[in-house]
Amino acid sequence: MSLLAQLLLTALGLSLLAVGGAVAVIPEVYRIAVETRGWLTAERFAELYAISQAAPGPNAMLVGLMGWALAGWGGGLLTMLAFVGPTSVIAVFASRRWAALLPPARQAAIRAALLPVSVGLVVSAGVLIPASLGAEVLVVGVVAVAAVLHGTTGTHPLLLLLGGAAIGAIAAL
Amino acid sequence: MTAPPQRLAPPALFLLWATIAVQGFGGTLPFARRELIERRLLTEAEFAELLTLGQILPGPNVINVSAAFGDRHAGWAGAAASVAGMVVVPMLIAMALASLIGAAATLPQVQSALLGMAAAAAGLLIGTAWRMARPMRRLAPSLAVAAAMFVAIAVLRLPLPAVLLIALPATLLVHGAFRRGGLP
Repeated sequence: MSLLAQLLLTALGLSLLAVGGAVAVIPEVYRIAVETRGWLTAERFAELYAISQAAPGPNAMLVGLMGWALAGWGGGLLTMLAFVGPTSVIAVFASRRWAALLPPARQAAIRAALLPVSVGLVVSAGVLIPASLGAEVLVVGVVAVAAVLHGTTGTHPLLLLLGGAAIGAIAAL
Repeated sequence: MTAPPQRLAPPALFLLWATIAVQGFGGTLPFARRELIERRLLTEAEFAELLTLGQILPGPNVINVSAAFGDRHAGWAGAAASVAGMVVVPMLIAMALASLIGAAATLPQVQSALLGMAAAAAGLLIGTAWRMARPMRRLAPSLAVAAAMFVAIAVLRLPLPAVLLIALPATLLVHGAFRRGGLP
């Protein structure tokens, strides 16, 4: 099977695993791309994730950028569309039919039940990425400062990314 | 589902969602809310209802909202145009950015800057999790589910499909989502 076909199949599968939002699949993308298939090194994965956050747009673009890294511009766009396609079809059917069948109280209970699953997955991604970067003192320091500022203040995310980049560049001098 | 008073055609839907997406640094939700409500395309209540749907279904939340919103205006073509608007332009920007950075990444300073940016991006994830957890910080069943997910994924490195097969029924059960009648 060609690499592009493998990528598209992977993206289609990841789509349905995005419980509570796209960030939930980051640990699984890491497991598949870095640990199982060897498509990306841990450093390359972390770079692509950082770029996906520095660019404007939905949180899910890591999957498209993985396609870009392996199969170029067309591959990137196709991988991204494969990642959002199946869930968009489900969203259309759900908003046409199922939504009326699920009373608001039950929808709220389902949302409350999915929240801790997403939270556990997002924390996992936040720990897996620095661990894969070697967990040096500087890395852990930047992670901690960015986490506290983003979690407790209204600092713009782009400012935190640029701050991290500046600290990294200064450390290399 | 009542038809919206002001129907948008697929090209207008593509532009609307592309406009929302390219403003969205660190998440597109606040921008979607602002555009849709200020342009009177949805009321607050309709937006909240669509967002709940987007959150309980698999997939990126705001892209789910864009698909359902596009469908209400122009059927499948409207849904496709809205989703394409959310992903195509941002992906082109992200790939251009990645190409530029890739061309400069032979310099050690650039490599080190990328490492610093990746560390900050990981910090953003942890900060996001803390914010997301606000409604559940004192709920023991929710904290137990989040901790179990962390152990299964980050520590034991188990595959996500297998983990979800067990975690989804378990979390729906402990949160009473299967309960008949009087929900909390």
